[in-house]
Amino acid sequence: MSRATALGFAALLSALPAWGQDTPGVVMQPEDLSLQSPRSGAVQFKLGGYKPLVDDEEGLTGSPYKDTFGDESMLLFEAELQRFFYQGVGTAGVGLSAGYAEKYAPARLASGAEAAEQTALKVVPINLNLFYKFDYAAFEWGIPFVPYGKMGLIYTPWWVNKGEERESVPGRKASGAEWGWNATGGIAFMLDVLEPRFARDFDSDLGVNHSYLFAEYTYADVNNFGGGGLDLSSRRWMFGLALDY
Amino acid sequence: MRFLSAGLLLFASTALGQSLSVTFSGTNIQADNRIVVSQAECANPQTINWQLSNANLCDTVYIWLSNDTCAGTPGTDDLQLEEIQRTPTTTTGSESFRVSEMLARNNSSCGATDVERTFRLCATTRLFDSTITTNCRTVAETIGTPAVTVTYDAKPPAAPEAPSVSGLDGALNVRVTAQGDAEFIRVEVRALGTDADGGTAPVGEPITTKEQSTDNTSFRMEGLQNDVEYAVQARAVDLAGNESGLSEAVRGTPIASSGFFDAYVDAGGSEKGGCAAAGGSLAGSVALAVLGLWLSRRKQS
Repeated sequence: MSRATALGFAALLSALPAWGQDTPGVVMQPEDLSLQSPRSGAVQFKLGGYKPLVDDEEGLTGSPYKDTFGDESMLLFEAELQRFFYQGVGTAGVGLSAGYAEKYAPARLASGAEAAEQTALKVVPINLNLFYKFDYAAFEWGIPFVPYGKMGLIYTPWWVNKGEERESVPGRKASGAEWGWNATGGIAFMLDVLEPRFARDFDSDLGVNHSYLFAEYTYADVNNFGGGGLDLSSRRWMFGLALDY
Repeated sequence: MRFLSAGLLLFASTALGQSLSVTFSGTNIQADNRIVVSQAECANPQTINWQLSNANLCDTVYIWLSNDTCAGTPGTDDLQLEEIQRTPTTTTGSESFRVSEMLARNNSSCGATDVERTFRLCATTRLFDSTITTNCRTVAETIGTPAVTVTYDAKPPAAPEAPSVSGLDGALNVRVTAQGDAEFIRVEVRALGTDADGGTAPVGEPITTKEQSTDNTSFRMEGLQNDVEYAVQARAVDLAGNESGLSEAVRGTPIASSGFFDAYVDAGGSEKGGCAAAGGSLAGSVALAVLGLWLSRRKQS
């Protein structure tokens, strides 16, 4: 990086707090609030590594996930729709999300060598959650960070392919679905502080009240509440974009 | 003077709007504007339709098959299909021709094998010399669209090179590329038997075959037994249905393999698969309830 670019970044970073203080759009003034469109929900798009804890299943004598797919995580993409039912000191509501992840690796020959065809694990985590986000400080005091938490139920359909077809194992079916629960904590950075005027235009033109970048950590136990079966539990970070509308 | 210029301009624009063309169509004209005729179809009639864009002709319009380019009028080596007079009674029609007639005019016949001849479907006429006179140009020009070619194809494509084969579970993966004008590749899997010299060679009818467009070079040949060696050969097929000889035989053996679920079961995994009915209905009820709540609140707002 050139010295000029580094200085530019440093200047930009040092300017951000000042920008936030100088711009009246961060703290919601009465006239700002009257100009805003009604806020009723949010949509989130997020991406992160998802590594199911298949090998943690009780009674397993080996580590089939690690032996097949190695230590790498799947890339999980999720979209979530949220509906607000409380807006006061913070915001609470219900969210419904669906995602997709897949992982491919070579199948194995009896000798342990790699076969010419691939095997794949594919999952579609569906999550119904209740959430609360403390955005009061952002709206009232101009602090652009919004901590939040979620808790919910997870239902994860999954299937395993070998070659171009569902893998066949005598007496078993290489597809199914697992139940579980999750707890998520995260923090969102309100992007409105960077361009308050643009944020207002975004609202008046498209009805998007606020936009955020966020990072969240999810603790998910997806093993039929301890009832056995394929353990699709995970501990993962997700990153994404959220839009309040 | 100004009125004369405007008048000329208006006259010219009207004439331009009525530019003359003959549009060809027909079910035997393929997407690339080709009519491909095999040896078996050589003496069968081929039908094409034509439509004249307008009836304002300067001279006779000829619709014909040319053994060269679409210029001038039909000669003795060409096959005239239609002659539309200057004052046509109709602007549409259909014509039938046999490729055998065209071959006969060019010292050939349907019996000729290993031959590929291409002819052009033409529509030509002498156009008006300019937009303000009724004089015709001296040479007939092509007005046919699209540029349709008629190909008599009795020449089989070259055989594909030896395929590459790898063993899958109960199947073989075959990769093969075509050469020349092949449109399809057919892969054939045969059992191996003893040949006249006491060696092994492909024998009998194919156990399994698969034909794909040449765009798709990968074949998955299924229904085979693991640990049994097979012979794999490929053949090219062109648009006229001519088949090449078989490629060199390559041997391949399907081999059992384990996917992730196999490994999981081998490690003592308890998952049986399938969705529990109770779980499914509970999930459905919850999802419906949430959707109902969502929609009712949206309606209220």
